[in-house]
Amino acid sequence: MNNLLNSGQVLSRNEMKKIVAGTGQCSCSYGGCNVEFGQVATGWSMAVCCNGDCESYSGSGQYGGTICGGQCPNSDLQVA
Amino acid sequence: MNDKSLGWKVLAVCSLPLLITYCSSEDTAIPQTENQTFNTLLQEAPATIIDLDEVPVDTVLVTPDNMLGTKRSSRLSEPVFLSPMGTRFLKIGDSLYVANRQKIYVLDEKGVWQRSVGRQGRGPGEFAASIRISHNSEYIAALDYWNGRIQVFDHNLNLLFTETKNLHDSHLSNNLALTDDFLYMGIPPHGSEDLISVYKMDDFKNRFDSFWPKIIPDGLQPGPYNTIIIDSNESNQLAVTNLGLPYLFILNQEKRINHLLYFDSTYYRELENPAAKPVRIEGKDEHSLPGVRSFIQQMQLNDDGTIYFTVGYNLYEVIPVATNKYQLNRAWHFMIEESPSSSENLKSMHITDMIVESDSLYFVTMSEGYLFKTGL
Repeated sequence: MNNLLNSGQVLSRNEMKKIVAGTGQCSCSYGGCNVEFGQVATGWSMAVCCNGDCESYSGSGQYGGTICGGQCPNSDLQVA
Repeated sequence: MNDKSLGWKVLAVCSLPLLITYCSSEDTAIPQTENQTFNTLLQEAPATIIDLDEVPVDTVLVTPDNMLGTKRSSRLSEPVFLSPMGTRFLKIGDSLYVANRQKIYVLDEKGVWQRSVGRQGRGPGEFAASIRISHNSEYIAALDYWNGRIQVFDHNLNLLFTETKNLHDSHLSNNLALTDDFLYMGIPPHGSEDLISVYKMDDFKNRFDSFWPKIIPDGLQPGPYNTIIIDSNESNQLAVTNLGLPYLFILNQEKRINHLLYFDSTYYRELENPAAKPVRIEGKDEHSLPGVRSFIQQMQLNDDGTIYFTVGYNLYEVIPVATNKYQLNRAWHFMIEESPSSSENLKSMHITDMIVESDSLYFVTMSEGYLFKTGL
């Protein structure tokens, strides 16, 4: 699953950090998988579901990666 | 987890003649985890081991005839397409109430979308993002997480009140369950070591209680084990499971564990999830932190104590056969044609929310964008 998230169109790290700064949620589909991401002040969580299998991650602080190759949060971000 | 020793125990039990149905074994020592906090919970009640591999799985072919919501009332100006993740629904009478993005839709008994309430925003009756909903005999509660509040409606979707809460947890699977007396929310109270917040329905402003310990302390990994799936029934029983762990707890209305179920299965062993022992791992994204793969994904506790849950593509039914005695009863796997013209090309359906009522299953899936109804 990780490889799917890390392939394709990717925004620059700085651009992505700017987008996901603050708090909010986004969901997207990518490479046959569905991704749901949430960022709050204290941490973030992500669920990636492919072929009936879901894997979850959570971390402290600001998320530092890219989601769905950069299409999310652009496509569906709801900033609270 | 000591799966090997469990495997031998189950093998020994299953090889006996006149076996209890599907190899359920009561009061058997169940495997411990690497997490001392969680292991303490395992000591609190008798347990039943259930072997999910021993039940035959019925394959159900779902067709377009099983789709609900292919038509809409003229009152709805736009077609409804359900998002692949985050759609939640409930059933009151013959109607389904479907929370999808920033709206709650009503689907009538004929499967026609009738109306909706809500839109994106911060005002009364508006929602920031995807909503979690639950209901009791009087209310529908919508967890408007990203606005930091709960909005309570009557069954006609008239907004009754909005209550702001101090929500700060980052877990996406935070869900809620309502009884006539209490609201249970899978979001830790601020500053608490518990995972589930409790509010009394007649005193919604003040948190009444909290319970269910965080098994991974803040800042440590694997954090997703703190994600809770919870459901309640009219008898004020609660069913609780932690994401990625093959245990399901049945609690009474005093929130004491009455019984716990351990599910042995090939599926779980193949998940190869990380140990539940808290460790410090630094990382900023999913590539540098341990992931936890889901075991139970959806779970429903019915009023008669029957438990339905999904594992992978399968739906399982566990029934109470006596006080604190449970048995695996049935299992299903749902498939749909990928396109109407290719009947040989079937694909499995990944259930993302469900209701089982009167031997009918209502469900939404990861990729189809519709609600379905099928008999069980």
